[in-house]
Amino acid sequence: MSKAGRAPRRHRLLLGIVLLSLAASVWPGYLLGARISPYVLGLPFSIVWLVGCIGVVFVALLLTFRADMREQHGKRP
Amino acid sequence: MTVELIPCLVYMGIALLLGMLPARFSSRSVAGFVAGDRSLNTVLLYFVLGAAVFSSFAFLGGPGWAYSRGAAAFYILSYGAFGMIPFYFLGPRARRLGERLGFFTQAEIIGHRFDSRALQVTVALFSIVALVPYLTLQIKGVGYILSVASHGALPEWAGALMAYGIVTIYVLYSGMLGVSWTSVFMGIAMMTIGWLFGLYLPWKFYGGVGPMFHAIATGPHAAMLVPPGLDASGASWDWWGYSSAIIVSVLGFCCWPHFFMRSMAAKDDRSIKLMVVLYPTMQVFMVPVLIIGFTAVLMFPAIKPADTVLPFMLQHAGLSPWLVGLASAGTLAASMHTGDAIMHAAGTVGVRDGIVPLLGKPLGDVQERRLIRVLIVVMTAVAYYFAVASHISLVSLLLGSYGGVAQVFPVLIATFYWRRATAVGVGAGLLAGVAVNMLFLLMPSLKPVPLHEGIYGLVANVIVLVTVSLMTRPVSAERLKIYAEAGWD
Repeated sequence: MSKAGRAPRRHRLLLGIVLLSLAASVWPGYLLGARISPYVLGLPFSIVWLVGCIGVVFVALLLTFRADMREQHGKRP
Repeated sequence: MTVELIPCLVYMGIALLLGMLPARFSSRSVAGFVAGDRSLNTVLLYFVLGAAVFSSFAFLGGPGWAYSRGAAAFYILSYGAFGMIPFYFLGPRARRLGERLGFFTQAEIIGHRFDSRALQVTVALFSIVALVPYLTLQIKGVGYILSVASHGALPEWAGALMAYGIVTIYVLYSGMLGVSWTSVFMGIAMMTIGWLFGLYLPWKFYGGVGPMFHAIATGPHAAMLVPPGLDASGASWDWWGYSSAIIVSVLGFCCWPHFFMRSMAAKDDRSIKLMVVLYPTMQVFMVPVLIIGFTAVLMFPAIKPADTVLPFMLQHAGLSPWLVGLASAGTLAASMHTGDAIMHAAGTVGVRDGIVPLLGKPLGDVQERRLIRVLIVVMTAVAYYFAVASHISLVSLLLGSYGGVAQVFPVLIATFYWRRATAVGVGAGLLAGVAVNMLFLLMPSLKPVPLHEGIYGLVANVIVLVTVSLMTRPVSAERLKIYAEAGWD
């Protein structure tokens, strides 16, 4: 929780990354990944691309969570 | 008794046991029954909320989509992963408010924020209208799969009665903790069985996942692998439809009442946030589910309806009866762990947001608990009736409900983030959104562009919400202060 009722900067950054990944999962961003080859682990690229987008969101969330928890502990030792 | 039925019965026995046990650990109060005394940790939340999404759709509808519409089914991969993210912010706020003010449901918070009993009852009514058909589909799925596993010896009504009899027993007996403990078991069973079959079936028929996709890509169905896939009639789908289906589902995702209210069962903010972080790992479970559907594309053309592709393969692919039983148990798990959560939520919402506000006075703890249990039985009976006796097409009703549920998203944002929003504004926006959604759902030819009807609903919803709110008086400053104090993180 930050002062003055504003979301901390990393939350806005997270929102930005999430929106970018979402844009890459729908038209027109997904046009880049919407093809069959190359295959990765036997899966067509169209699936791999989407799993990749989910992966980016996962990492962004994980880092945000760690920073949030560090902040919380900093405030209440 | 058939061999296939044995894994199903073992599974149901374990579910009953695990569902009954936790009653010993929860208090005999409304808080205990409805929210497990606000004690759920990350693991329990992860599986309870996973359960909210992976219904019998996971093993029936999911493979059916991949089988009949190809890459169109990929939208399922995306929406769950993104749809959970608003919960990282909304969940902890709802939890703190719930703890402070003694709330357990979404409609309670909305009703309090806007100081409007009418709004609370309206949201509750929407919830129940959306939940009952959802439950009906789960019951139908179970009846169907048990009838397949028993080679027809167990008619659909009897299988559904048996499985949901067990679910009713443990939900009534243990409440929220029963729902969450069984969710862990069912979630693990469902994921293991999903991955097992997602890898085994392509290996059996093609020698592996890679060779299977190669075979599809070089065959007459190559277009299936290229997004946005096919539409329901088999022609290629448009990007409008694909993209807007994802957006609507993302926004509607955490608005489901049986989903949102779990924030108030959470132990602390940390467990909600960590659950959201870990959630994409569960979403990846949809990959093997889609693979199951793709396996059948070349091997078994012309399965109708497409939703029966997994049961069809189980019957006709010459698999060991033990494997067939295992897949059936996985489908039961997927259905039951959604069904129990819906029953529990529908009963709670019906009493706390329907009956109590209409009575105008609070009930005693014992009375309220009893009433919730009665309502759970009544609603399950109604859903059971629709599942086995009625022939109304519920699939279309459910398809429409995502567009409807997404209309709650602006309400939640206004609740937490826009002080100027008023009860009349939010209520009018909600009604406008749902009406527009229904209009385009029933008359798709009226759409200017083939976007999901939920998008049109949302546009109407937001315009009305903002305009009417600005024309009406906001609630008192003291009340807004409570919501501001819940934090902006």
